[in-house]
Amino acid sequence: MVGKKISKRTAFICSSLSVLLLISAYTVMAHMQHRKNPNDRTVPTWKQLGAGVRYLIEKPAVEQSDEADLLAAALADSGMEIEVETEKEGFLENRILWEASKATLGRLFSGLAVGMVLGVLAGVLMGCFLKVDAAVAPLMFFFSRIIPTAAMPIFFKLAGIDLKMYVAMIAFGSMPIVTLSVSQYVQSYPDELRFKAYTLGASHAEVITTAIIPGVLPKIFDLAILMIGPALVYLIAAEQIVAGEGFGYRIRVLTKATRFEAVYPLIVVLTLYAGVITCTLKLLQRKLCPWYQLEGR
Amino acid sequence: MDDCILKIENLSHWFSSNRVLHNVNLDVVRGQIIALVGPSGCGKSTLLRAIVGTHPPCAGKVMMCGGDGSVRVIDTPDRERGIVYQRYSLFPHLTAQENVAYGLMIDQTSIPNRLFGRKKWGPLRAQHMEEAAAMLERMQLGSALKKYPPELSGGMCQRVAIAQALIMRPSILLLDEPFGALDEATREELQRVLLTLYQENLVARKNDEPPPHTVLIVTHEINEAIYVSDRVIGLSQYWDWKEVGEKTAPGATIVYDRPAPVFAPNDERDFMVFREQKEEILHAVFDPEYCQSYTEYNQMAAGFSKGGNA
Repeated sequence: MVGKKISKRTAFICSSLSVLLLISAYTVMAHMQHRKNPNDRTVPTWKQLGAGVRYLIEKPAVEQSDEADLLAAALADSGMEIEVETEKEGFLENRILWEASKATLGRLFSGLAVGMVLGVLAGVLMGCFLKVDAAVAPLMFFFSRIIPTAAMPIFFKLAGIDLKMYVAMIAFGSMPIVTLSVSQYVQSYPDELRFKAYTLGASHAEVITTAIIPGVLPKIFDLAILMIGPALVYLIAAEQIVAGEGFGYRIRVLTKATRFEAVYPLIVVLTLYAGVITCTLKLLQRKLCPWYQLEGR
Repeated sequence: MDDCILKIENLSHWFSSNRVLHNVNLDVVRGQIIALVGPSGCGKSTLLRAIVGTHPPCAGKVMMCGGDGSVRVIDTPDRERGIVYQRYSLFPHLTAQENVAYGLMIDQTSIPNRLFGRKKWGPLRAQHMEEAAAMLERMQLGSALKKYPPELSGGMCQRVAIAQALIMRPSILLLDEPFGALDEATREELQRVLLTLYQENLVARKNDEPPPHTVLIVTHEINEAIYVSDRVIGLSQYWDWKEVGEKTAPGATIVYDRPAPVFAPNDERDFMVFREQKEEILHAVFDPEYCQSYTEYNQMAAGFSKGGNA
């Protein structure tokens, strides 16, 4: 029958099979490629990939000094906790993966935070006051259709190429969509509940803060999860063009050097980051809005 | 003892060329439980919205009466008039108990209070939650305090919604087809809740206190209307508007206003008792063929209210 339910065990077996299939297909492909050309680096073998990962974790972004290695060895069995903390950070800071993560995630979070906060504020205003909505909606609609990657050179020109530019670009890319969506959510908040809050004595500010915002909060979490994708697209694209650090920059440089054994792990790690952020937001949503899960039942 | 709570004067309403309500006049007296019936699409909900204050009428006034004979025109919803809707009757993000405590919180504190006056707000909140729990206990919902609305059955939701409105002691409680989506058994249970309110009114009257509950319930079920109320009002678009010089259908007006028998919550529900009145209402309000004479009705109503005063 169409839509027939399956057991958890069957579901697990099916998904394991598909993952296994992907891994073995890749292995065979890499093997065949290397039979043709033993020096191939575009479809690296697992051994090469391992070396690539090691390269990302161990190779410092700048020249590695002997001192750092000695320090690392000393850390392993010394009890100097306080020293360790500060030194360890300085030590990690030199690693490619660490440096790239810090740069990219920092830009992503600041940009998304600015875009979300501004977007939610504007969206709530638009949703609550239809005059604001009428005035701002057409502009927002226009801005939401602009492709941020197309406008990128303008950002480079106006905002330089430091953190400020990435934040401006991601915020500009996400804010109009967030604003329009949140305004939609607020406007579709049931009239009955709005009226009811007033009949229980609420002021305008209280209707907004104690009824409408808590009511649309879980949808805002869903929206944040959705916006991670486009934000990463803008960010990595910009990094590939102008950055001196970060995932986009590393991927570009390593690809140029045909070191694909390090490029693939970078992409996987980036994907994992996006997955972890999504899960964290989901968890937060479940924690803060326990009622939202119940609604669909 | 005829103290008026709510007064509607010459209320008319229309949506562009579509006339819905025509010259509605109504006095609601403290302690009455009024049922408003009418054919579907006759403007019952429009009238109720005007009373709540969310959609002020196009012409005429809805007024709340003060104790000293003063009147105040209504144009926005406020805490004088509590409401229970058929759908979306509870805030989904609050538990049953929090839903009932919501009004108390809004009433007795402000946003700065709650944000910065933690020391005072904490104990006050505890007190509110206790009051809410007691109220729900009275509605036989002691076991559902911590449940969110999606976890409650339809009947429970409506009961919580009634508690939520009642805890604010509104001058008048408005119910908009509150039991329309419930099954017959649950409906009956909730109708008994309303009868309990009427009993509380009777007790208060006996002790020479003002009756605490005034209720206006909109329904399309005639049995329900007669059963829960002590006064049935019929709103209908079928009246002899041609006789009073109207060229196009002017919308519904009140064509029926009679007392209804009062039941105690534990009485046997015997529909035979009000069969006669049901026939009467079906004829006067719901029958498109029959056009109630407007002038005749108004003369009759004048006589009725005079009789009521005596």
